[in-house]
Amino acid sequence: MPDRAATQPAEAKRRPLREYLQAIGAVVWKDVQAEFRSRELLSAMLVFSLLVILIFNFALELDVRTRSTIASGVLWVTFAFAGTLGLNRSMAIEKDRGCLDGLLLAPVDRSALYFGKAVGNLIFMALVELIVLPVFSVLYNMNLFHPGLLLVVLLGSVGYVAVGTLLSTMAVHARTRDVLLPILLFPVTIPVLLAAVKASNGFLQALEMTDILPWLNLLIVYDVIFIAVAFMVFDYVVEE
Amino acid sequence: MWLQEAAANTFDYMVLGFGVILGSMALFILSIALRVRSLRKDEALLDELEQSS
Amino acid sequence: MGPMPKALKALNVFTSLVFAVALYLVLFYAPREAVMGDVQRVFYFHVAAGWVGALAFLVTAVAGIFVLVRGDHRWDQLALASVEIGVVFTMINIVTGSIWARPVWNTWWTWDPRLVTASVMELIYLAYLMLRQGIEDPDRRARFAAVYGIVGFISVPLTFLSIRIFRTIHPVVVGNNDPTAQGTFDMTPKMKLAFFFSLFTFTFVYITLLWHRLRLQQFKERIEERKLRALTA
Repeated sequence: MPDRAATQPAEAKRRPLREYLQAIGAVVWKDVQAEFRSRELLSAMLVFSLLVILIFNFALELDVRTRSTIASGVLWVTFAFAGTLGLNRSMAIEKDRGCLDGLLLAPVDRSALYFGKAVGNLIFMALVELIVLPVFSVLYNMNLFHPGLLLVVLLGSVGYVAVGTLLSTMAVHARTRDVLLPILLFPVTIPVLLAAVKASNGFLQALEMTDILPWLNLLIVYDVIFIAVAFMVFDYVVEE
Repeated sequence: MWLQEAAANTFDYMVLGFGVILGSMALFILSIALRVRSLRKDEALLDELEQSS
Repeated sequence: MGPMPKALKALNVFTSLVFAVALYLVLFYAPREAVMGDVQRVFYFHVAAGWVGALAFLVTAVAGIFVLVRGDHRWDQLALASVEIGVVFTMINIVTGSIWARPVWNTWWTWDPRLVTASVMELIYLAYLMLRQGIEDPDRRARFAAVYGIVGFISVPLTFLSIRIFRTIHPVVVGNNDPTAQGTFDMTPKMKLAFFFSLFTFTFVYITLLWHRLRLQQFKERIEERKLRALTA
């Protein structure tokens, strides 16, 4: 029948892409489900974030004015440390339970695994951020639900997780895995963290867009470059 | 009076700077030399072992 | 370790001579800077050392690409040799930068984009070495190091850019008044000669040291192989 013949080549092209996206979805769903059952990752990240915010509150005795200028800095330090925790645990769970080997046997392009893990890590980080932001707003008495700020949080988290997922896949094989990931990650993510802090600060202090735009551009450039790099090298990281 | 200030006396800092540069390079070269020497000893030992066996 | 190749022996002599000439140019031939005095002479080797650090890092990143694509272990030996030299010379760059800053701007540290970027680069190098230390399987170690070398190398210009934006939008108030100052001074022709000759000299210093360090690495791995065989025999 003519209809079937016409749809065949289009179908054939769409199938690998659909399978690819399904693979990514499968990895993400597996992680989210596992986490939903045990909640060990999220609770650890959350408690840690709140502790960091508390410690900062005592470490930097701030009056109301100074608070607004350093709020974005404190926020991103918190996210960076909590993010490292999540990245580490996510990969460690994978490796210790032997899931990594299982995933590698799947007949799908290795990069799908990368995107799957990265999206999963991003979801966890976003969940923590969504809880930390209102807590922070209350404790520091400032409104953090500015759309610009939320955009920065998203872009910054994407960049951080993109590189973090790649590096945690490597760090997990080392004996010093927990301390090695921050050592590897922080120097390389300085552009993201700096840009995120500055852009966040810009939105919080209602600065001119011309001041904020360079930082947003830097964030986007960083995200694009490193997602591309991770995509290209991930195969070499997981090959046996 | 002075139409032009004399250059600041920063001779000590210059000495410190070159000390760091030359010292670091010398230490690095020394470390390579020492590592080669230690490996040569290992090599001699291995040669002996392989000969006697 | 095999006998030293003739080319390397010649290179040793050439580099030593050129280095001696550079020292002469920098310490005696170049005039004393009118405002800063003698400490400015450190600048020539300070920049040259920074150049070596950047070059070493580039070589490591490119060698890393070859490790991944060709799977040839020798590129990994080159990458490691280059990193060690990079660590040493970047450290020289940072410390001399600090020594130069002290009498000129009355501060041990300036948040100059170049200095901060060099420090971040040094941290990446050190992280690279720690990563290598943590992985036992040689093949995996080579691959992981290659990946990190590439990721690190790409991040450095972005770091430089980010600090540059930081400095143009928020000029530092404490310490250094002029955000664009690099200890600006006009270079007379004699100074320019000393400057470019220093860059030339340090490039050869890098190549010479790299060759020696590479031979050391090859020797080391041969000995380790023999040790392993002797133990399992």
